[in-house]
Amino acid sequence: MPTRTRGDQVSESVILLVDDDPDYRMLVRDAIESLGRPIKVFECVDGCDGIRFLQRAGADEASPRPNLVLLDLEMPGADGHEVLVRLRADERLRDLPVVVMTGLDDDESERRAMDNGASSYTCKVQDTDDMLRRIEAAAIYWTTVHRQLSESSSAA
Amino acid sequence: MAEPARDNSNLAVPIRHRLQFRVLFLVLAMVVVTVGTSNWMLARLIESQLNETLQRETLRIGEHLADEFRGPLMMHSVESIEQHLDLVAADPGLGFVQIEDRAGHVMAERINNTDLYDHFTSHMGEQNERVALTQSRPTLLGYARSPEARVLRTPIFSTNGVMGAPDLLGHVTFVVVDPAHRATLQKMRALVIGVVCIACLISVPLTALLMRRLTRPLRRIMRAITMLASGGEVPSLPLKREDELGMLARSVAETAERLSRARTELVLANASLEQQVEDRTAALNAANRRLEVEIETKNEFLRTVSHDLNAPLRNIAGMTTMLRRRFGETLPEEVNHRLERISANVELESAMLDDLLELSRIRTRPGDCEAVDLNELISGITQALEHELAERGIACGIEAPLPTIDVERNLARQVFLNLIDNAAKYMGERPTRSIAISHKLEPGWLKVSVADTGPGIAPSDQQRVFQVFRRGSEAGTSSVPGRGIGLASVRAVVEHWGGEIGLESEVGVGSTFTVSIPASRIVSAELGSPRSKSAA
Repeated sequence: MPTRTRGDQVSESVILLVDDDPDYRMLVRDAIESLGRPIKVFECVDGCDGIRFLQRAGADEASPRPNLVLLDLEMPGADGHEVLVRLRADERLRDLPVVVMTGLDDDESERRAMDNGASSYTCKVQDTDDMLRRIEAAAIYWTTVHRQLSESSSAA
Repeated sequence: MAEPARDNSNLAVPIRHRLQFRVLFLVLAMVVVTVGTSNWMLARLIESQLNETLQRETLRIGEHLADEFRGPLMMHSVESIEQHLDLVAADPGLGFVQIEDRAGHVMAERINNTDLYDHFTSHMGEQNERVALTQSRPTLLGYARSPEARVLRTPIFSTNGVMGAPDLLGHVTFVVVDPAHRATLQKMRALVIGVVCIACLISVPLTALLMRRLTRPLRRIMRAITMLASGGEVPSLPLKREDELGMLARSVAETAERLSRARTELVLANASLEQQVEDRTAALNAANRRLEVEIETKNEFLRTVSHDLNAPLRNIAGMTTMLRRRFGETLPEEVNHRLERISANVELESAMLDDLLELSRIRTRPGDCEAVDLNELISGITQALEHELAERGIACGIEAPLPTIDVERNLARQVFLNLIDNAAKYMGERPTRSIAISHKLEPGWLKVSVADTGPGIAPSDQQRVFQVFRRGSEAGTSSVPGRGIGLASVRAVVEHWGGEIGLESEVGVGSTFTVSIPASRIVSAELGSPRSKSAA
């Protein structure tokens, strides 16, 4: 079911995927696209790339503002924690939903990510079906439920 | 040489106790006694000589007077007697002279010294007494007043008597005074006292001098010994003396030298020992740091490897699943089956990686220790396995109440769950099927055994079973699901506690796994300890 803005225009949701593992990015893209919803997935190969995209700097001047960021923690250059910190320091990006998806399943990593302003923390679990379900559920919630709620509250 | 005041005060002996003064007193006493006694005896000797001479002289005078008055008495001529008396009394050496007749009546007398005479008459008495004193020989009377006087009463006999025996005519009594005698005695006494005094006067400084020569070196030796004891520098010693003090000084000096040598050696030995200890400690610390870094590096490596190995596996599994989901219906059955097998293998590999990760966690991230009641813990485990145990007809029980130990509850549960679960899983169709948990206390160790009546483990497999992903090779083994992580984690936990895991097994009889826990972890060996909060 397409999401609508005011004026009953169907607008696409945008998800930004920041992960250094191209295969994983492909997997996530496949999973989201298999949902059959109007969601466009953009990919960034590391933290710096992600920050550039979000701040619309340099070549990413015309990049759209995503409705959800799926962020990996372990990346070369700027890691997920740094991306979170930089995002939350930016006035325009402060309220952007960011779901951390990482292979790190220790409490310390999770606590740190939530402290830095992550909206949610999801582990890349070994059970493939479980993992795909988590990705799909997150994509649906943040691009539809959360988006509608925040847009209606800002309209009020 | 300046010396600390402390040593001087130590050497200060009260005057009356000082050797010098004691010897001085002794010498003085000896001088007084010996010189005094000898002089006194000499004086007595001289005095008796003088007395003897005086006595002899007196007797001679007595004889002379008797001869003088014999004639007049025989003639009974008083005048003649008086005349003779006048002649005799002219001698000043005679104090007085008395002439008695045979009846004791004083016929005539002459007095030169009234003192002596009065003294004599007051003692002498009257006629009768004089008669009683009559003797046939001259007799000295004790009535002389002073030592230089002698009173002699001499009988006067006729030269030839009527019966042929001499007749007593009367007595002459007189006193002889020798003034020189008295003066001599006085001089003698003065001499005795004088000699004693001179002896004393000479002996005092002499003794003092002598004692000084003895005590000064003695004090120097004393000071040296005091300094020796307190570890200070030893002052000079009278080493050149040939006497006993010199010997003492030399032996003290030798002792001091030996002591100083020994002290130097000790200081050197101490220093080297300290250096050694320091070196060893430093080496140990360095080794510890290296080991810590090594362990940390190893753990970090293991953790990273597990994570990094997981990522591609995840991708393989994910893509396989996606393929099957998206194209499953269009793909041939054969391809679908292969995809399924890929998924299964990936899952196994992934599970093994998880096991490895878990094993590394036991060593790196232990939880908090608490008092764990083993009775309660094992009861919880057997209750959890109750269904499985009952299904296979296995009796499982604790033989005697177990102690409470201070360990991580989850790790303890892991250990005993693995041991009991293993025993149950590998039991097979044995005629008797039981698992017994027992314990015994040995010096330094608590040993908890889990004994089963299972098929047993071949000796060649007994070390293998504790290795990760290695399982026994017995025929029945492959039918039991498992990856071979249980006993490896049991060993990791027990070794983390500072203990060890042992195995005794005989094929066809059964296996006994013994967990040895350091006795320091025993909280209480009391039975029926109060139930603590259960994690089971």
